[in-house]
Amino acid sequence: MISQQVRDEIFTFLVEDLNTFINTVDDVFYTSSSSQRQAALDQLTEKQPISIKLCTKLFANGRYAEVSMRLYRLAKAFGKPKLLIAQSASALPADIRKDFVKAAITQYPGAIIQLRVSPELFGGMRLFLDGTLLDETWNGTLRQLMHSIQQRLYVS
Amino acid sequence: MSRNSLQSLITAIDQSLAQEKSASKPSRGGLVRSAKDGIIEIIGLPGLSLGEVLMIEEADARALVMNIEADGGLAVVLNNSQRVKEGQAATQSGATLSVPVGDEMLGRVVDPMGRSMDEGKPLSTKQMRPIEQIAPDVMSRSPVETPVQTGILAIDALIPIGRGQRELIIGDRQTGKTTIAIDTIINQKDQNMVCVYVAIGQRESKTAEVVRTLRDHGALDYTVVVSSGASSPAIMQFLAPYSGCAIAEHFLHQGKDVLVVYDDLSKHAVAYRELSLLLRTPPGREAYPGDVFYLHSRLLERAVKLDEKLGGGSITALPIVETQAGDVSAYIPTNVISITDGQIFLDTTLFYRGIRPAINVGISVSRVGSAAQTNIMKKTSGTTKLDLAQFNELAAFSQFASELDDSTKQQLTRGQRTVEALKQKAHKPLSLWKEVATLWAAKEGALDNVEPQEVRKFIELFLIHLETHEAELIDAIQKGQKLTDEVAAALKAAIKRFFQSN
Repeated sequence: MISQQVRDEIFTFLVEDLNTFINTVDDVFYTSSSSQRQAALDQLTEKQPISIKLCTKLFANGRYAEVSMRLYRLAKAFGKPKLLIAQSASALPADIRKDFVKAAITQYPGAIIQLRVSPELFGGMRLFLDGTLLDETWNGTLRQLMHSIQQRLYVS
Repeated sequence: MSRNSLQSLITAIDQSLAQEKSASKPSRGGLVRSAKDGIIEIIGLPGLSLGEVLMIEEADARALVMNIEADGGLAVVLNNSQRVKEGQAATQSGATLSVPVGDEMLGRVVDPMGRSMDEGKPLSTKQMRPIEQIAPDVMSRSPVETPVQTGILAIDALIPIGRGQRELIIGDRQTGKTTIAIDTIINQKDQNMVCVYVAIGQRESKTAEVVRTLRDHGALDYTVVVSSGASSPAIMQFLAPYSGCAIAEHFLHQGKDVLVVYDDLSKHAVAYRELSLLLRTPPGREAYPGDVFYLHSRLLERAVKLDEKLGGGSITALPIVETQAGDVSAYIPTNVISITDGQIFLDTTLFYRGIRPAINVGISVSRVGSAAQTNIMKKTSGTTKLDLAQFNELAAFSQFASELDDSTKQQLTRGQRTVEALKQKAHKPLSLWKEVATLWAAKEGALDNVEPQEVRKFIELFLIHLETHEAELIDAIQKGQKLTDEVAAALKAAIKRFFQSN
């Protein structure tokens, strides 16, 4: 039986430290071997208790999409994380990605971040947080424009 | 494009661009995480409700929520399923699934979403009704007392159906289940009844044949056909009966009597099983999900005879279930038997012996019973069911006996003639007076001296005789619907006159 204090500690580690790590780490991490990944994760948990060290074993394999989903599922076992999905038409440059993740973690504490690339959006970004959708993509704007033109034509 | 329309398009674009705000408004939405076999998984969207419709604008598709999880759920795509892809946004519509309804649907063939499928012009119904609806409660209901005249003598006499009843038609393939339902619809002409025929997972050619039959007999004018063929997605087959019921409820709340045929619920259960397995519901008996009973009970409970205060309309349900090798103890047949108020069992053996409709009178039953019979039919049919049961028993025993006493021989003769009298051709429903006259002739023993193979011919001649010579008697039966002493005497006299002279 894990005490509430330990659960809280693990949850905080997952949504803050590990969440930041897997979203801001260089792309090389996801193409490196399991042992190299484990070494990077061990560095992250150097000063952490054994329970937290054990958690990181789950993240030594897999692509970004799988790892981030695994993180969300694991976090759900220890608390109530929110899921913040950020979709962009192309991969965000490393520096912008780091700034975005840092800002998102500060703005939405307890949120697990997932970055996704969807070329069909053409440009801009779309955010999903806890059921709220904020669409600032070209695709969304064009669709909105199309609806509004259709409505105007229908009325006139 | 004309100059004017081009000008108006340009004006609209200008106005839209001028008024378009730079920041979009937040809305309720989640992300499509996976899309496979018409099922989509939504994440990042807590607070979904079952039966809610989601919009996937990028694919111009709609999806029906059928499984809820903590932060999303599983939904079944209703249209354009090929265009739905992972990564698209799914927004909440806040509405449950509804179907357009209206009087203009009469005579039309529609899909479960209420879109016309026939050659007629597009439907312009203004009203919508939710596909799923809670069945009327106890206090809204009235007892089932008014008969549904099916025009099938064996049913009207022995297994009467009342307005508001649920009567199951069950039997193996090719035993005449659909024919009974179609004949019942055909017989509703001028009987103040609206009919809804729901084809679930049927061959399109069979549905086309049904529509043609209804049209040829002038029955399509008061019928709505809801079709979800074998080639349509499982979700459409699953929704079809609920959609048909919603259309029926539109007429119900106008105080009308409605007859709904669900053809058939075995295929409906199979479609639901397919959906449930894709939705990862744990499989139970015969791989059906645990709630397959509720699937049919919530549908059939919507059959009702409404209280007079609520308009007094009714929905009579005729669900059809197909059995395999006559096995009525299979999962779906036993479920539907226990939900309905009786069943008409069609027997393959009887069918191939030439007894058509192949109704096995012994195990067919109507729990509403004689309460849903006209006075004249109640008195005429009397002990016919019991007599037939005794005849069947005697007939089985007589195969082993070398000598039979006179009373047994007489019972066998009468039974044989009654069985012959109950035979009826497809799509030739009988009016009440014809049913009463036929049954009366069999009951009175007028047919005892007629050879069994001649019985049908004699009855037809007898009915022609009545039509040409006994107009007053026909009128008395048809309008009065009561067996008065005068009617009984007139019937006896007419039978005597005809059978003595022939």
